[in-house]
Amino acid sequence: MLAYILRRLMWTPVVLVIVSFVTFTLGQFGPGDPMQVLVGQKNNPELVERLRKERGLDKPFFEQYTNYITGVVTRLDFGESYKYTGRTVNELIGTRVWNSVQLGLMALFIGVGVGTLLGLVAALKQGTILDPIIVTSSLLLSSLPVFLLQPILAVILSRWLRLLPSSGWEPGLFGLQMLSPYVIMPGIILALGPIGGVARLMRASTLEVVNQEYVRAARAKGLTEGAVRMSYIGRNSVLPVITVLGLSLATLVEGGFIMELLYGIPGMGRLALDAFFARDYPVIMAITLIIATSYVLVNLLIDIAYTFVDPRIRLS
Amino acid sequence: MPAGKSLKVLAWERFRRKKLAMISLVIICAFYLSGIFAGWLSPYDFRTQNLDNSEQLAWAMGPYCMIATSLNSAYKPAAGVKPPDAQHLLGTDRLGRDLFTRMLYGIRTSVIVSLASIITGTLFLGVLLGMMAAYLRGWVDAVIMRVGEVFLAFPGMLLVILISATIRERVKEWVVTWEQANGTQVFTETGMVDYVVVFGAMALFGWVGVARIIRGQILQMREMEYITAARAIGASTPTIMRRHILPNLTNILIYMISAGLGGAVGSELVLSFIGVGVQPPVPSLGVMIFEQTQGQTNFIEQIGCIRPPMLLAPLMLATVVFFAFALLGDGLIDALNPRSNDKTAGFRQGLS
Repeated sequence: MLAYILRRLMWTPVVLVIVSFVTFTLGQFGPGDPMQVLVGQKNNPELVERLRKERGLDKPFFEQYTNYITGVVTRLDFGESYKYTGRTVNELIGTRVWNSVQLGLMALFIGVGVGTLLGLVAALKQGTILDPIIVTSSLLLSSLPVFLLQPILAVILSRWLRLLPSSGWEPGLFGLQMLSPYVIMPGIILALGPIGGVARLMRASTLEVVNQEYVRAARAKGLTEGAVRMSYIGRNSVLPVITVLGLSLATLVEGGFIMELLYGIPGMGRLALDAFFARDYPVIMAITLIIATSYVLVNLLIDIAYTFVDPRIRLS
Repeated sequence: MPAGKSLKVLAWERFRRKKLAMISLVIICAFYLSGIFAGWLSPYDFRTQNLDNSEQLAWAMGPYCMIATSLNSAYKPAAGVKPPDAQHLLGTDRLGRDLFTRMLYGIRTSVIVSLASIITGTLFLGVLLGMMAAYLRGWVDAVIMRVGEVFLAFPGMLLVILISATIRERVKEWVVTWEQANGTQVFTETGMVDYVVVFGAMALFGWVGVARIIRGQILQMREMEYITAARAIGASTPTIMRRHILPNLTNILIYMISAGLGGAVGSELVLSFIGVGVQPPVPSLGVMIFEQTQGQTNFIEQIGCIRPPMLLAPLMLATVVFFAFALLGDGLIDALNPRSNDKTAGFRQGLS
């Protein structure tokens, strides 16, 4: 177990080095000289040369790369933005990462909570009309494109009922944006995909668990139906859901990008797209590295957590 | 089990009983066929503009527009927009281009991108690498799986953004110089470069999941008795692969193709919507939705006036197709599982 974790932990930096190297190399392929773009119309070769020197862009490729990586690893310094001169990438990214994380967390809570409940109900009510209704409607909801949901919800909830703000991002309870009304609409739309996936998975695994001997034994010894459902059926059937958490992270991050665009949330997705159109490679690099690190670490954590929840599994 | 029926026939019979899944299959087939035959189905070209807007006033006064104009008196329909009629089934957009034609060509883009990424990513790379990993084991297995891990660590959408920002421009430069040298415009006109960049990037990420599943299945299968038996009677590895392993993978492959196509259609839509996928004027459903929602915060105007066909047509189409893919996948999971009539938990877990 410990050996497995150690091996995974040693492999993690290797993955990240490869990811950073590929991203860095791609940045070199970009059309045009970013410094030329920065100088703009004036086209002053001397100025361009000076800027290149200041940023170490005149050095050979490998030296640039190693300088960058040393900066990131030792000082957590992601360099200076090309587009916003004089501002470091850390400055630009800092609060935005937190905004994206808050949106993703909220969507994850909603998605896993609602999905687990729906799947459990559908499975326990198998044979009644409730089961196909839940299955089909969760499928339908998770296949609705955000572009359709966003305006419809905006009209109903913001314009007619005036319940929620149609866009924006302001702090709410405890100064957290994730506890404000602004997170509700994007959070729900973002959660629809996970709700559908989790509900179906939960339903399938519950159907397997209800037929197990230990469930019958629990009933036979006179436990109330509620207790059987909570501690015997629910607890065991929720296990497979944990594995999809890692997979849904990618969905949440990438779906979050779209939400940030549609709802005007100042998160990483917006920044990444702006950086893309401005050829601001340091910003793109930093965002890619941060997300890649979080993917790798979260998946490692889930693997480890899984052994604690399900002692039958031994990692090797 | 009735005698004389193969597992495939039985699976098809199980599938045929599922009405929703059957309807979905028909919808998806129609979607792909209309994309493939877009050029024959429409009399117009997707680029032809017609800015004669003499009908505009009548249109603006029409029932659609009543709500919009009453809410916002400043509202004016864009030039070129025409209501649906016999010539233009869905009307025209603000540049006077036939909307139905643009939809068909948008579907064509989805079809090309999704088919190409599934064939290259899922079927070719995924199956091949998965089989190699499982059969050759040792360092080949280790390398393939580790490389897969690196790909999984990449935030896919960001890499596509990066690729579009960097490599795409380079490729475009090459293509344009080549075209100028050869006096043709065939690639830039059809948007070939966009297609290649978008589906290439998707294929690059699509193979990992497939390869893992295929590898897992084969590793499980090669311990089975019938493989030992085949080996005992002297069957060679290629024969065992072809006769015993591949046929057993078809079910899971059918499911993965269905899920993969749906996912690829969705990714193309999103990528084109945010502006890093297919670039205008090459039509794409994502670009069409983007063009209609851009700068329009007032949905009443979109819904109420000029917008219904322009915004709702691509949106509804996308919704119907996504839903059809979801239902088809669900139906396939149930129908393709030869074991038990329980709801296929094992098969699902194999996929997750």
